[in-house]
Amino acid sequence: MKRFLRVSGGYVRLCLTGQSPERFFNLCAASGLEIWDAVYEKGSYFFSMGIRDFKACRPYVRKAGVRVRIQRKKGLPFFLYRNRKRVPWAGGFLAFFLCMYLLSFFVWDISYQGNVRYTEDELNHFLDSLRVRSGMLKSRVSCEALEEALREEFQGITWVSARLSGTRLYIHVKENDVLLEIPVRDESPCALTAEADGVITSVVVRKGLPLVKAGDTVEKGQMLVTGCIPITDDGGTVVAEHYVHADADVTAVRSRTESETISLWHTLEPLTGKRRKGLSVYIGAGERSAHFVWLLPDLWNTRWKTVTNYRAVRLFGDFYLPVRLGVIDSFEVAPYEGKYTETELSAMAEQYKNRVAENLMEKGVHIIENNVKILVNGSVCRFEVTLQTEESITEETRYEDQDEQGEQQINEHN
Amino acid sequence: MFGRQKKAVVTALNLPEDVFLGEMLLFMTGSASAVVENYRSILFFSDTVLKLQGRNTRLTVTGKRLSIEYYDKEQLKVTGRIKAVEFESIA
Repeated sequence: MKRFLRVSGGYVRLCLTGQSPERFFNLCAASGLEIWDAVYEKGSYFFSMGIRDFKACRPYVRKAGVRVRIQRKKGLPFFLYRNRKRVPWAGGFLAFFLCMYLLSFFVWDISYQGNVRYTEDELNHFLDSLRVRSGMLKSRVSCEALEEALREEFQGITWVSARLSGTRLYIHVKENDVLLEIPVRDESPCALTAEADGVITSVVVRKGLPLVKAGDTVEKGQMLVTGCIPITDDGGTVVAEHYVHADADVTAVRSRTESETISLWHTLEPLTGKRRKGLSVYIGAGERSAHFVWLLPDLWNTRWKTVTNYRAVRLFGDFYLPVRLGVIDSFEVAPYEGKYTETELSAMAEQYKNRVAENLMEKGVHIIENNVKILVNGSVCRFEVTLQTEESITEETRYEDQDEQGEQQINEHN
Repeated sequence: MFGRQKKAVVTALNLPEDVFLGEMLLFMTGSASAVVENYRSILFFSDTVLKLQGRNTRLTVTGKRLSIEYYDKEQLKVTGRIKAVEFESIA
């Protein structure tokens, strides 16, 4: 602060010679004149003094019998005096601050925090529909209305905070981690049928009557648990049928086959080592922004892979500017068509096998056996994964559907 | 006059000596800088020696490339490579 005041007020660097410099210093100190950075060099004293203090110290110069010479003039008043004829420069200087002042009235960046389920693009798109976007006037942003609109639009958001800081709009959201709605249980009458062929390993029935037991071999579409409960009289005669929503865990060992076909030929893009760097600048906001690119020209007319990292430019703190600066990194590639080798195919087949297994395990499937075959046919290759799994094979079948199927079959017969 | 008695009273009452007796205060930061308070005047200043006059003592700071960073009525800051600080009683 003290340094800033000295520079803004202007000061002089002085050289003092004479018989009693210490007396001069003492007189200055006694009368409250400020002196700093005093050094002794080759019989002379060099020190700094404010402009006003320098004018006030003249009586003490005579009194102490010393001679004071100005070495350098520093500070804002001298700077302005030296550059008094440079009007365009001063105009540019003032225009810069005016520009900064005008830019501070707008929103130039929107930042989101706490969003996991809703992506930034999704939130951006919604804000865009509300006409809240980069480049709008800060006075037109109503944080309360924005918070309310976000809460209403996105059911998963339980808390929103929108605030303006500098030229940035901060939107902090908190999402609901628990289920928003309790799923309604389907209580309509149905039976459980097998969705694939297999050998039953366990049957746990909660509702309905089991028609199979562990060790039975079932076929696809075969009824496993019926939802039709017969009501018998004391003699064992069925007097009525009560339909329920069959509920059971029926697991079976079954076989699965998954396959993927790829082309044997693929494009390889090895790097040649040549590299180009450049700059990309977006000035403005949204669709009305101007785009400038500085990149060394491609003299060899070859193929390049380019990566550009963009960053919003800010002056300080949250004072963002309507400028996005990107560093371009371009690498030359020499593309050619290559055929997968056997080793590569084996590795890819193994990866595919693991991918299939992972997907099934995420669904709670227990894998007993897992094999992969590589079948090459001309220019295509097929990976065939055969799995032996233990999993639930139940599939709900409504009684209405069964009736419709039965009716269709009768009509076909007729 | 009454110097010894005054000192005895100040010591007995546990009063600050720099305030009541006008003793110099010296704060040093390693051998790079020193701040002196309660001095009266500069007696001598060069790049190797700085002599200050206090109320009851004289302070001599010797070293190399000494410079006065700032000074006013109350305090003075000397920087450089300080080798020795010596007090000399004048009472």
